[in-house]
Amino acid sequence: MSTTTMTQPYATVSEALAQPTLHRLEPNLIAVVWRLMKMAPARAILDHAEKQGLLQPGGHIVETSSGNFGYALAILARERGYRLTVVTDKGIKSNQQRAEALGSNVEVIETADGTNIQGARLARVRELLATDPHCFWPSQYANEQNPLGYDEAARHIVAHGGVPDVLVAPVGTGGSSRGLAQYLRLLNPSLRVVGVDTHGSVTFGLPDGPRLLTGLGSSSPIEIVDHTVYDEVHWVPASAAFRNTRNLFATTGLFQGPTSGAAHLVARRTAQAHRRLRVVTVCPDDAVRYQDTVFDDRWLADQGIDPHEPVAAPIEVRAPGNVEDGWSFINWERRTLRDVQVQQPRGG
Amino acid sequence: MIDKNRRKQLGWIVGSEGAPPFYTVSPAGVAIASSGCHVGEVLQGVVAGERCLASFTFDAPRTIAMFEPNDSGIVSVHPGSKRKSARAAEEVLARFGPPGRGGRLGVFGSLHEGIGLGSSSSEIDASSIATASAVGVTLDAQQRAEIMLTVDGATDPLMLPDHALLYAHRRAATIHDYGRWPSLEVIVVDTAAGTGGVDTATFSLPDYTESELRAFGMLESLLGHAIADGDVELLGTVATSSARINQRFLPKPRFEELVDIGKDHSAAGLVAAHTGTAVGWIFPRIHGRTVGDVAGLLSRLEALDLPPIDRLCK
Repeated sequence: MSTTTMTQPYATVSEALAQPTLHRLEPNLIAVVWRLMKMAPARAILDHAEKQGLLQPGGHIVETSSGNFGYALAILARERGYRLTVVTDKGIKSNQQRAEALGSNVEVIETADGTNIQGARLARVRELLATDPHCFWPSQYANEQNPLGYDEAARHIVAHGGVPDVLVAPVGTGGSSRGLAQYLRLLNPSLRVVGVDTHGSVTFGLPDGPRLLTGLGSSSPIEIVDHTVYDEVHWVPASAAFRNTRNLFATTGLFQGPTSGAAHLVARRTAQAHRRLRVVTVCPDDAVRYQDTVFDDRWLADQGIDPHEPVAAPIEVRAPGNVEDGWSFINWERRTLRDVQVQQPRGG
Repeated sequence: MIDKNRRKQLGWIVGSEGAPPFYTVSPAGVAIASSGCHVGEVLQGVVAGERCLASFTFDAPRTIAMFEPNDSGIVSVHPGSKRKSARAAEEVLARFGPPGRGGRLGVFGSLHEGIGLGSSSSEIDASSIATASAVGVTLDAQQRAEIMLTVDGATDPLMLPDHALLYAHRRAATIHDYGRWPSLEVIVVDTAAGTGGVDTATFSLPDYTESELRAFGMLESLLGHAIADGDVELLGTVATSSARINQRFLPKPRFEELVDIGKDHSAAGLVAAHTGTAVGWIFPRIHGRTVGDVAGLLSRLEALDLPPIDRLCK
């Protein structure tokens, strides 16, 4: 019967993009590969808004986005007949061109010194919302529908790959790890959830700083992140993520973006160290939009990154304050951020 | 087992596939019927906006009912507490009996009451079949369900024990038939052994969160996969997960401990009575043999003073 199975031929592009494919990369490692994972929460958020009457036919959606979420909204807006205004930064030009081709209005925000772009974008969104009371703001960093939208992905993973023991996911909004964890832990309460963050991101307690690895991490705390979901947290530097992203493609042909490469780096190490555990790793987007950056030798050289230098093994730390420049990890043990920062045990 | 010749003497009428056996003894016209049971629910919740369930039903005769018709116009029942069974008999006579028909109903149930094995449904069902048979009528599955619904306000799919059904129990309708259950055994215990069970009439309907509702959609889909693939391990996982959601509403004591005990002995999962206290460990059966460390589980249960109250196979 299943109310949630989407089959081919697809009636909409959005439903196709929302579904991952599963790839066995090691005997005990499955990559959960999306071309555009953000389509899953985008659909869930809009479906809910429509049901609640927050979004009417012909309505106006406004959102700030680092790229993929806005792009997902642009496709949905075209499919469902909404106007979309995306307030973004100058980071990803190809995304802007594609959104405009789909009929969206893209506003590019810059700040004088290049920092706190996120804050500036939010201010502009509030300005737009104030001028149109029927405007809907999906607000992916705060909307509970974001993690809820991963039920279909969880089903797909279990139906075709079995119930996993370990889930490795990059943490941007925290939606995919929180969402998948909530559904998969129903089937396996012992599921170990490993979050992948990067230096310069405050999400797991590091100081704010510039991040070359965009699409994961954040300059300010994210509402929907639930720190108590995570058993382990890794901080992967951009250089290691980019190297592994290229390596993943070179060894398997899987052409995914750098957040996928960051998660795969961690997942492969876990799978190789624990052959009896079933590991799944989230690969959120394909590499189409990174061909001029991560996959371009000259761009990498300009960032001071040698794509062929091997990635060193990670160092375990007891607190975020002890993280230095290289790949590091901590046994987060499903604690709150505060408990981890003061090095309290869970519930202490 | 009764041999063929004796069967002829007694006028055996063996029911069609899925229906329990019953016979009438002429000339007194006493009819005897049996009905089976279920063990909790593999899935109970809300799917596509409707409250529904899928349960393991077994046609092992767990309730026997006898009905001796007369012209008294009333139904008397033994034991006197079996009011719903008497109502079922009255309902059958009202629909099918000649006017003025009454009778004496005897209900002999072996199922523990109020713990989620469907003792109430089983007794109503056996009583319905026996009464109908006594007035010369063979009830079909739909009629049996309707009588149950009239008397008890809800039904369970006792009538098709071999089929895995997603069943809208509040309106006696099958939402989906997934096909035959895979071969399996369930070892049943009462987690509240000796404390009398729960009064299911006072249990209010669970108010599920959106996360739980989406989870039910996921579980329903996985149930379909499990049955299609004959995957008892996945089936066990679905059952345990549905029970886990419902722990928020009617918790079984030591639930996760019971799940872990099952895992220790290779059980596929734990099926729980969502509105009762019974649970059952699920084991696959291959070529007529139960696979898993059943002996180990039974020893463990004995040590925990949690004796099995039934073992049922498909």
